[in-house]
Amino acid sequence: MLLAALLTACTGKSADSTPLVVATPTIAFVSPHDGDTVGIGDLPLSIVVNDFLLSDPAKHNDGEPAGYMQIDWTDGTTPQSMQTGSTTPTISLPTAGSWTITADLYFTDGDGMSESFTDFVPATITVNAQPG
Amino acid sequence: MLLASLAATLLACTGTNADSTSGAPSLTLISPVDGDTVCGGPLEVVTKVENFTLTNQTIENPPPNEGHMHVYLNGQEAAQSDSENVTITDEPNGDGAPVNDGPWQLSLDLALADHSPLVPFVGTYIYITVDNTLCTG
Repeated sequence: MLLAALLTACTGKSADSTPLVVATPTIAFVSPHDGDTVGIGDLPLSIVVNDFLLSDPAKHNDGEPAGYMQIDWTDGTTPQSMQTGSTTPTISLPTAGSWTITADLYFTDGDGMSESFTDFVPATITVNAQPG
Repeated sequence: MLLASLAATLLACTGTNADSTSGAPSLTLISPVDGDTVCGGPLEVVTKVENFTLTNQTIENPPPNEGHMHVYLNGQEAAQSDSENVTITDEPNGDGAPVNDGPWQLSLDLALADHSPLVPFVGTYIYITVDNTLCTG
């Protein structure tokens, strides 16, 4: 009996093993930073996405816990959007002013992350675009 | 006699003996360091792994101190390694393109040979800038 208990303890498992916990994906800007001043035109982004496998939104990944990133950016009058599987996409800021950039995650089937993870938070920054 | 049996049982279930690794697994990122600007084609990563045996084998019910290292760029897996020295030749999701210029988060962790994470988690991350004009050859 004692030996059995010891063996059970040392494996760290029992018949009622705790199910695998799936972590909530996270997303955050590496660059630029919130409040940065950037040039008008092309703006390279760098975004870290943890606990979620990004893939090309044009490809099918049935059965994979994967999806794509959607970038939305606006100066309040000109909303723009792109979908990408890259963590280093480049967007274009055509005019000077304050631009809000949001990065969000979607599953391959188009479902939003919040449908599965209520505590998921998209990443948002605001940059000030100025003529170079 | 009973005590000897118990001791033998405990020794057996730990999967270790006096000649193998002891202590908690650890992973130290030696190069690059936080804030470095480095070549991205290829991106060379040097680590020190202690109290953990690196292997490329996938093992069901793996031993507690054996597995591999994951290397991530911006959270996406760039390499899985059974070596302390890792060469990253292309960007995750980049269809073979080298790691492009700009800031990146470089992160690493150790996983058991069945790909499950170590508990407690063993890993680290830094921020680097890739500048491919630094690449030689």
